[in-house]
Amino acid sequence: MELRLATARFFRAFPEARVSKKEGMSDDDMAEKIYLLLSPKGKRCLVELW
Amino acid sequence: MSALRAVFPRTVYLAQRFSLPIPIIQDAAATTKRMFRYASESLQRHYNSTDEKPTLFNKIYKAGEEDFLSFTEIRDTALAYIVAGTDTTATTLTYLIWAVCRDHNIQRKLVEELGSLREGFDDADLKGLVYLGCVVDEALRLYSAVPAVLPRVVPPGGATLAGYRFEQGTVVSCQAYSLHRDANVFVDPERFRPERWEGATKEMRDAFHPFGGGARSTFTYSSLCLSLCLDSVEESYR
Repeated sequence: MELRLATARFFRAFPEARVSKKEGMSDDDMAEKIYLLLSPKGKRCLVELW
Repeated sequence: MSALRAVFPRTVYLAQRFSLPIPIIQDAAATTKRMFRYASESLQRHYNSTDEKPTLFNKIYKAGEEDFLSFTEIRDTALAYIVAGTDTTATTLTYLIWAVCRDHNIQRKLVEELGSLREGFDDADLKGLVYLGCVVDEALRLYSAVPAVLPRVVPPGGATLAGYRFEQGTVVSCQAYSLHRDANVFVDPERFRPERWEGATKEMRDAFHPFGGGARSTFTYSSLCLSLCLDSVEESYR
């Protein structure tokens, strides 16, 4: 399944990835905004890869 | 737009019928327009593509040429596949990466397990990775891409469900959001804790349906998203 493959590839390539605090990225950006399809409120998820 | 219509059918109908300036509906209408354009462009690209490999859409074009389907119907089908096959997986993947990256213990455990993989691994190699499976299930539990109502209409003759009688034509909806957060089934439900799936109970498995359930499950849609996310994740950063 795609999620499994994508997760494996991502964390193999970027084992040290961290959620970024740059540009004011916070958990609030990831608050769920839901109608039918889930989407994060901030419309972004900043991650620092290394 | 169709999402809003599914959840608030009357509001959307009234807003469109009387051109009411409701921001959320105006935004959705603009997005829908943009998506229609994207779907049309994608169709054009696919139609002109020299790739000989037939896809589902070759059959759909044929139906179009034989006047079984209008262009609007073909475009709407393309749009449904684009959204259902890519957006859903991308959204859950975004939340999965976020949830894992903010918890050192989960991340360490996952990276450690992934370290055992051979170079050039494929999905078959991943099936044996227990913790990876737990992480994916936990992401699908909390961040299922379609957590909202999936309306169904009771067929002619009515139906009895769990001791309740429903007349024909009644709209019945089930949604994953609250089901996946039922504290009677999932201990500490709001917490992202992949370990809970290591000892998954039958109740957990039964309450878990991130793709809807039964004959109208969206699972087949989601499976269409093949390598899109994978390739973009890796290649755009390399």
